[in-house]
Amino acid sequence: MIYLNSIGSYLPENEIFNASNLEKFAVSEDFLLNKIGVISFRKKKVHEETSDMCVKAFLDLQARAHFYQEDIDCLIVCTQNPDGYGLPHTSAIVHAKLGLKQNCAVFDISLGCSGYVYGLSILKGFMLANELNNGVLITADPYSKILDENDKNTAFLFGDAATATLLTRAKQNTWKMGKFLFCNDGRNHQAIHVNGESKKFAMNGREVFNFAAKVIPKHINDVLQKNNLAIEQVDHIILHQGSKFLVNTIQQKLGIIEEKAPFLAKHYGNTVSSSIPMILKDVDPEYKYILICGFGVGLSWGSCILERAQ
Amino acid sequence: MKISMANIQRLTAEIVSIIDADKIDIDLSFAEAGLDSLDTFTLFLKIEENYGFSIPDIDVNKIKTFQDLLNYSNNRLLENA
Repeated sequence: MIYLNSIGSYLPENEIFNASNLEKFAVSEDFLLNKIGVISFRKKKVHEETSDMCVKAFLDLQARAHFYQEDIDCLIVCTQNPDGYGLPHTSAIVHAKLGLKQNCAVFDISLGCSGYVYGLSILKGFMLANELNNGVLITADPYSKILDENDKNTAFLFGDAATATLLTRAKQNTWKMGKFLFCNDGRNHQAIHVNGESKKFAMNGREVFNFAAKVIPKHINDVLQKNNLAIEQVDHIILHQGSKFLVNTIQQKLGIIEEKAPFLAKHYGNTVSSSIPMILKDVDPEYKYILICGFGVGLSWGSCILERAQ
Repeated sequence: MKISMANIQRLTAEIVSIIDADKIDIDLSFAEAGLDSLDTFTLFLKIEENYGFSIPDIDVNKIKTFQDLLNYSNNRLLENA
């Protein structure tokens, strides 16, 4: 069996406060606080690379989980904003910067906001298939590389962050991964994309909202059913932190209280594939069941149940 | 089936509880009635889910007032009848 052991994270120091842009985009403070929900976000330095962010998240994980570089048998980086042009893969650069051993499997996966859930399943399956003991899943998707600072639809939402999650065979004080459920609707892939000419990020906010509001509540009920759980048995639901409005809409459609599926990204924003582990790292260890749900670019979505293993 | 202003007022009240939905003037724009852009998205979504048709992006820009929404919705229902 493979368990989710610990999570490390990294937020760049440079904090951008959205209040300073309200006038520029004719957005009210009420709308910012109650709909967007992001007071501030972090932005990496121009010359700080994705791999640098990965390294910092890994080192934070190492400080928490106390392991050596040579213990790591597999490293996955989930990003769609890799170093350079993505060749070589960012995980190979991270492998070098961390001085990991040669017999360590290393590869990238290209997914956005559903990437953490997919990544957990990929790493777990890869470790089981190849009899590995310790694997690390890193998420690092610095959208500051592609954001258009004049785009009102996205300028308030996205922040840079990285996380690193250790999967091990050791069971104590970990999370057991239950059954996963993955879906995709490629017909609407243009809803979130990078424009080929401008090289800037573009998002159709209404299309993403409609997708999330229509599809995700049913999907969450489906993954609960797959795991033979009722929503009342789950202590906490971690939704991808797209925006406060998006999270609140899904929570209301599920008929649960806000505290059970809260928006918690007000000081760092939508950090894409890092949004779930940014919350999961601080979750109450007394919880028995947690549901995690990522959705976005693709349009892709996936969920799973985490069960506390004592 | 036909949608009435009362139907739209009821759906609006579900979104923005502070608005006295019964008193929304049919000629008001959504912004004038106190709905922001995300509230308006939600109202369109509720119309779609309650009445079984979709409002494509290309049509959204044509729907500025409650009267526009009422006319649009009833035309779509007629098309689908």
